[in-house]
Amino acid sequence: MTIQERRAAVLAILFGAAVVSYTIATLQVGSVRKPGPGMFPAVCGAGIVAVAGFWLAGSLKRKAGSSPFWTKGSWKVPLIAVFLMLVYTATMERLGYTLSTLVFLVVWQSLIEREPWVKTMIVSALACLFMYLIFVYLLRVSVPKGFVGF
Amino acid sequence: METFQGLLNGFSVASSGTNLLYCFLGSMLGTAVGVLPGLGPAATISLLLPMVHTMGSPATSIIFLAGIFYGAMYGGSTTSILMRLPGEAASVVTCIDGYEMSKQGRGGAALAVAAIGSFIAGTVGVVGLTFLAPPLAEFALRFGAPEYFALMLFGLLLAVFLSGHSPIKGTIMMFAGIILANVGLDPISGKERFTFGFVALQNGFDFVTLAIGVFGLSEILLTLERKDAVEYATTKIGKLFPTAKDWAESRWAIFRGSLIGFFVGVIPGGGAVIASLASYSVEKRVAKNPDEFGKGAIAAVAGPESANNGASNSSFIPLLTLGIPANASTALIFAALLIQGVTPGPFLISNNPDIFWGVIASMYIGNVILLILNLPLVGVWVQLLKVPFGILGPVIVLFTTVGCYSLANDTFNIYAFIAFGVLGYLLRKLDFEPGPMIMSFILAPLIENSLRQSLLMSRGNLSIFLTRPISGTLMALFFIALAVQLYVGWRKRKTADAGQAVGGLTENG
Repeated sequence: MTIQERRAAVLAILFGAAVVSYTIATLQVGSVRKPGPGMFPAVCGAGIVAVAGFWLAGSLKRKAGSSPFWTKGSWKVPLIAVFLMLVYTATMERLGYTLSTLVFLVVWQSLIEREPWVKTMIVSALACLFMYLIFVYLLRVSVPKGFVGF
Repeated sequence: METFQGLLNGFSVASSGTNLLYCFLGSMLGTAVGVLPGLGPAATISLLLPMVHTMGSPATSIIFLAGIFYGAMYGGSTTSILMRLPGEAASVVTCIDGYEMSKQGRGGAALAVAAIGSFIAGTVGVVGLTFLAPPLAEFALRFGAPEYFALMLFGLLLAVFLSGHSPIKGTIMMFAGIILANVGLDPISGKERFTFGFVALQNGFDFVTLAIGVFGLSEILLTLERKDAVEYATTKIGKLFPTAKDWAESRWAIFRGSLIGFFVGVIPGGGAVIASLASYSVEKRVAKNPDEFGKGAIAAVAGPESANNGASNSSFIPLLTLGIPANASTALIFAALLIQGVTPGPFLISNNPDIFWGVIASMYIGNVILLILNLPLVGVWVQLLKVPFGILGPVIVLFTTVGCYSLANDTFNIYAFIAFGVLGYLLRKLDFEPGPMIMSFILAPLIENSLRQSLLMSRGNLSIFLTRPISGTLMALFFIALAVQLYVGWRKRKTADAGQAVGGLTENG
């Protein structure tokens, strides 16, 4: 077990405890004769606390390994991807599906793939067209139009 | 007689133009997914869930998704054998001897035996499904709330213990899945649970956003993190026909693999990965020369490849007859049926015979399509690996994003999908298998309702689960399986501790 896994076990215990506390405080747990809406989540929360506690207790008897969670800077690219997705989602309804998709692809190709700009533009435009044809013409998905109207 | 009549009707459904086309498309896409490393059938099915309502009838969409599932088992062998690149988890074990055969110029024979074995085992699985499913569905009509609760509890236990290498992590994931499923309005009292005042959370999380996030997006984020260029050092395929000696060595392995796959696939929590591993260990045990294993033994390709296909087809038995998904992929197919307003279970055969028999008949057709797709077109599938991830990655991300948006024309689902993707990425980095979470999320409402109904029926008397014959038997099986797993885990831990103690002693001189 690594240090990260021990931390995960602690987080799981905290999560389980939070679920139990929440259900007891705000939901009706009820009784075995008349179970309430809080009973099932409370049991599951307690289950997480018990299992994660057992896991943590067992790991404390052993020497924990220390392999790094991320190798040197490997977290950067996934983080950029998630950030781009959040920006894309936030702007999709204002910019419209087509324009926001084009911008997303261009930025993805430049920042993540580090492609030359000519290839970036061609790939982005073609991929954007491909997606538009699939969603709008083939699957008839109602995509946001934005201020540009498409 | 009824079975044959049903199957005939099924063939008339499956051979309609649209269904035949979707069966072909599903099989082709499944093969492609199997070939491409990383993107497994569960991730692909989850990515396509938002599209199922655009495909017409529920039978059509399930025929398509089922094609992806069993098609991936065929495709996974191609790159495992030719490049030592398992495109699919169930083909990992094929890499060992398949790639060795390729290096010896026998890649063609390995591919042919894998495809023929897959075809035979797939057909065995479907024949079993044809004749076993109807009586099982009839038997399941006797199930009440306590029986369903006991059955699902048993299924979840097996899912936890068979899905990954750590039952503790699997159990945590299972509980977490149930808690996530509890977000929204309580189906019995209507009380809000875990909504924290957000109106958007009142309907709960959509299964699609969870599935695509923890399977699909997490896979893409992990690939982005690694970003290591795969070297496609393809070997020559060689002759695409097994010799008489190859056939003699592999025919019994195919037979055994088909049976192992069929029985492992039926068990909830079982699946193609476990079936292929079980088959490999059986073949090694019965081999005249076990030393050849790892050096290009054809039985070590034939057995596991047959087993994973047999398992993928037979896993439809618990899904269609009991409404219990046997693994993550069938859990997603279960969700696809629910999206279409169809509840899988004992009444499916009487209420929706076109879906039940249509899907089964399509599997017969799909197996033939896959044999044709995988033998002569093997070179085409290898070329697929040349598509750079730089294009594939963002297109998949956009595809899923729009898919999530189309669920309710609302960006909330996209944010939920991104959050689940990040959660799945972190969990998978910590070696948490997402399968149990997905399965418990989908089964949670059924488990909770059957538990609460049982307790109301018995006025709080828990012995209701033990005194009724079927639920009592299932509970007994549950406790036996739990005891066995705990004992095995305890033994393993003891061995590991002893090893660590010995290591410590030697280190300290």
